[in-house]
Amino acid sequence: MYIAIEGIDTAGKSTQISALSKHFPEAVITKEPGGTKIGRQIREMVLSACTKSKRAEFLLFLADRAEHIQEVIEPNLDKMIISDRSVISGVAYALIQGEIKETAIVHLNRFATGGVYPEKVFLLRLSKEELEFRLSQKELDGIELRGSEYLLNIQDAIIEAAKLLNIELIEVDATGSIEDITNEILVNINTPQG
Amino acid sequence: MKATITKLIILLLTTLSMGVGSVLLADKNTETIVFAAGCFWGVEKHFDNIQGVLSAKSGYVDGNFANPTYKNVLKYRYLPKDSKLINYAEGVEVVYDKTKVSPELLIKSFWELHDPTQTDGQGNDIGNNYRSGIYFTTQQQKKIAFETKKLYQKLLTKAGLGTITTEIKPLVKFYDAEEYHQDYLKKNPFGYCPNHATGVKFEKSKEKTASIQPLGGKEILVIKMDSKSFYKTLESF
Repeated sequence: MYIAIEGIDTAGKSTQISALSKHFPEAVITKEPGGTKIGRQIREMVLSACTKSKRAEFLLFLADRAEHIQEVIEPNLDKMIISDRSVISGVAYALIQGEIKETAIVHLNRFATGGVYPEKVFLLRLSKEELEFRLSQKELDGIELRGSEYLLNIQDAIIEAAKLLNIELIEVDATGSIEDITNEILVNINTPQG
Repeated sequence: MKATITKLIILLLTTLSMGVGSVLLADKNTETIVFAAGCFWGVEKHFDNIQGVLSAKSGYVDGNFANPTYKNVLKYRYLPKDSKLINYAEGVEVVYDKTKVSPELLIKSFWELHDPTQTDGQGNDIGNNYRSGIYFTTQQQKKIAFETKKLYQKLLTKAGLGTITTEIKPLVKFYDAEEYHQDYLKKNPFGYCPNHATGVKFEKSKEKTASIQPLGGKEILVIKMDSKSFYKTLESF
């Protein structure tokens, strides 16, 4: 089963993936973008801002995704795969950018992934109040902090992206205790789809 | 002909004795110690990367039931303190060549690797299987373990941290963990194994330049959505 964990900064994605990997020690743990060697090279290219065209940049992200699906996801579909983010984040980002039409975003992502989408995606959802509280607590890396509005926009775009791609998105209240959230995810993983 | 056969026999015997000799020599220089410092995936990776370490294996140590498995060890992680059943700790068996790496270096790196003041857990990994321990096989290791514990406690106290909970015991038996746990982080480079080290070191390293934080780390930067911030968003947590 291929599942992905989505969520904005401070939602606790890595904590949950860490906890889940203990329950599925044989699972493949991966991430997107940057989950392959090519993906990391693409990352360098995007970070060094050498693309002028937004479309070129969009296509680079798709190339990363295509490689990740072919090299990491597809060969392991018979196993448990837990991915830190997925096609949903990519679509959400493109939606926020607003440069490319919705239908094109969806079609091109289907082309890049060959229609291989996560079976279940868990969104660790934060309320505005909780997010602002967490941001205020995150003192150590102040430079990483961003406005709550910006992050909440991403959160909304993630929900929209899941709808557009017709992927089951399970929203989990990320305010609860680490263990409660893990248990909620585990129960959902074990529940048949539909 | 006879002379050739004799020569051959001599050659054979010499080769054999040299082989035995080198094995004996290797054994003489090889020692074993087991460390438990939370989830074994990261601990194995740490010791695997130290020069002089011949092998680092993930496994189970210091419990009292037969043939532990990962499933059982996770299941029993919240056993009450007075339980007759003693759960295993996730441990790493380190075999090293003492002419290439000293037990002192290994044991010091163990203290610095994790938070030995946390009882039955490391960070969000909670349970008796994550307890901290040194399981020695030589008197020298035992001596160093106790001495460095005392020294590290002083450093921890000075840094305002708590009391070491690490158990230091002779190694009774080490059970290898299932194959999929061995070299886990090599197999899963994106596996999450958070670092819970206290940051307290035996030797002072050069002080890092403080980052610029005009508001004392409470800055909130509103960054316009672009690809750079997208990547940072993806990677910052």
